[in-house]
Amino acid sequence: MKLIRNLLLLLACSLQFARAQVLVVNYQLKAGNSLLQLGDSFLANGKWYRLDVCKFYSGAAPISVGKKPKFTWRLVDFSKPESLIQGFNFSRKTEKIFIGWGVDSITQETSKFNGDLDPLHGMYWTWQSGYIQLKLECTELSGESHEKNGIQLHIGGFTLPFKSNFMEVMDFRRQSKSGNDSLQIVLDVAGFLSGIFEARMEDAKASNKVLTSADLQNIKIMSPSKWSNIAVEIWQKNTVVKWRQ
Amino acid sequence: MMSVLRAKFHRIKGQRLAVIRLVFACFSLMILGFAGKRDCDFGLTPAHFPRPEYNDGIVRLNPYRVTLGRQLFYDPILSQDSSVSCASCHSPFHAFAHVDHDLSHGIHDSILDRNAPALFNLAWSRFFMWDGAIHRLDAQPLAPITSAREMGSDLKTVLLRLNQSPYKKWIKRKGLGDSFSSDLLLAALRDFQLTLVSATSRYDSMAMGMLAFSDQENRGYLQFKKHCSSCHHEPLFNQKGFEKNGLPAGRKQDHSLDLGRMLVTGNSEDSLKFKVPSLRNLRYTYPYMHDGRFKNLQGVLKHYQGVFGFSDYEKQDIIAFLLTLNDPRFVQDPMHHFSSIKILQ
Repeated sequence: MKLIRNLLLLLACSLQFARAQVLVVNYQLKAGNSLLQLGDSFLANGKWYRLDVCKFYSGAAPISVGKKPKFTWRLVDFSKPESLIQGFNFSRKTEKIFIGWGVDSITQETSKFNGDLDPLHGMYWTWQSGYIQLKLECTELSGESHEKNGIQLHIGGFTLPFKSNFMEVMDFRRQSKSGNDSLQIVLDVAGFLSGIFEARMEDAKASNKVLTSADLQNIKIMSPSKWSNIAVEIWQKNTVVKWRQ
Repeated sequence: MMSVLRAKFHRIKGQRLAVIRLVFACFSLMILGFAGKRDCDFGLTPAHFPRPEYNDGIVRLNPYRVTLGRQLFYDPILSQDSSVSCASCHSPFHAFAHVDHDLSHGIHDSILDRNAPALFNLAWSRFFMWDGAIHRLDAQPLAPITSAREMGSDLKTVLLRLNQSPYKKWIKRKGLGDSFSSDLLLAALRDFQLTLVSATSRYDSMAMGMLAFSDQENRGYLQFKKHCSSCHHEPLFNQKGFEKNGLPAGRKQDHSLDLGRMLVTGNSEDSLKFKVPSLRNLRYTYPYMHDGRFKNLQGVLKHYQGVFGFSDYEKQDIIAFLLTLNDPRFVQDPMHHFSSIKILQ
């Protein structure tokens, strides 16, 4: 009995030891060199905008050889400050991790509809099936009529030909050994919008169309399309991930 | 004397060991039995069916969730003004299809763009809706619940209502949770729909060697294999993909063309492709096609006669075969009908 008790104690201790180390991720928005919050104004493509809505899915998964990554997804909503700092648990054996943006296809197919993945959060296309990976809405301030001059970008779609997520590999073990287990992820909203405008103008040029300023004032991407694919690439280009110093 | 005592000792020892073994066995069974009460395996895959698509074939149903889903399926509480339930468009007496109307209709008599498809053998489907817009069964109810022309409600309102109804006490008593959540609502409807398995038709009996077709049915079966089986694969009589069948495009309620799968994928090659429906239970699921344009099988086959060129006699043989796919046992099964379990009392 004593032996069994000691063995059980040893097992419990080793499980504790093998358990979590926590990765803390801090999310921020910026426009150019300035940090941005909801309700702030910023300049993009020569016009002033107000940021109304920004939320997206971000997650992390340990990389295991021969196994599909199992992500933990969190809804980062800039109207909820408590969601801007997220903790992800990994075992002490974890060496490398994926950091992801946009719910992956495995989770899309199999997840339970609870927690941050609950359709109640308004990030699920009920008529199309699938999570809205990024919602970004801005109002253009320098136009005559403010109500209708809006940018509404609802980016999603995970089945081919649409792809609306991306990920990066981070060296977790090396960082956590040196006492650094905190990541900072920054999305440049002004850069993102400018990228969208450029893509629209190039597309119009290629099709010999002329875009008016009204067309650029009211850019809407509301369902999976080639534009959501393009938007995801621009989203990735304007997202910076770095270990906090 | 000593040998008698020794024998007695061994007998007592043996009996004690037997008792210990019995207690251990009972305890194990109790644990296993308790664990087994939560979820049970699907157990509904007929021997001649392939492995279910759903969850890679791992289908575990919670009996209480099935009961709850069955109740909710018939309850108009899911709609904005409590006038429309799932069963309003998916009638159990018609293999859960919508009959008598070419296009289905929802709240406030809103006319929809398509005819509601029949619901059975869903565990073997990969996509749902005529254009495959929905890729998982437990997400599907969100579409009609939140559609302005179907049930006209929203998830928050539905959950609030359910949590204010007698359902809440019931789910707590059955260990399904303290209150309704999105997950529970969708899982309950999913679990009920997964139990809708149609596999007891005359064809199924033939496939399992229990009876033989008549001569006409056999001739029809041969014609079916020649002309129809490239899209309607046995034994489910549908397929996982989408096909174009030569029908001209119809118009939706907003007068735009209904281009089917292309509206989901944006791919012009998917223009006018729709999910291939099962040919089972055709007796109950008229009218036919995604927009109900054919009121009867004669109309359907007349269209395909133009495509494949079979004769009028061959057409009758095909219809004779198609009738073997009807499953009255499924349609009449009281376990699928409105529940007599008094959840709301």
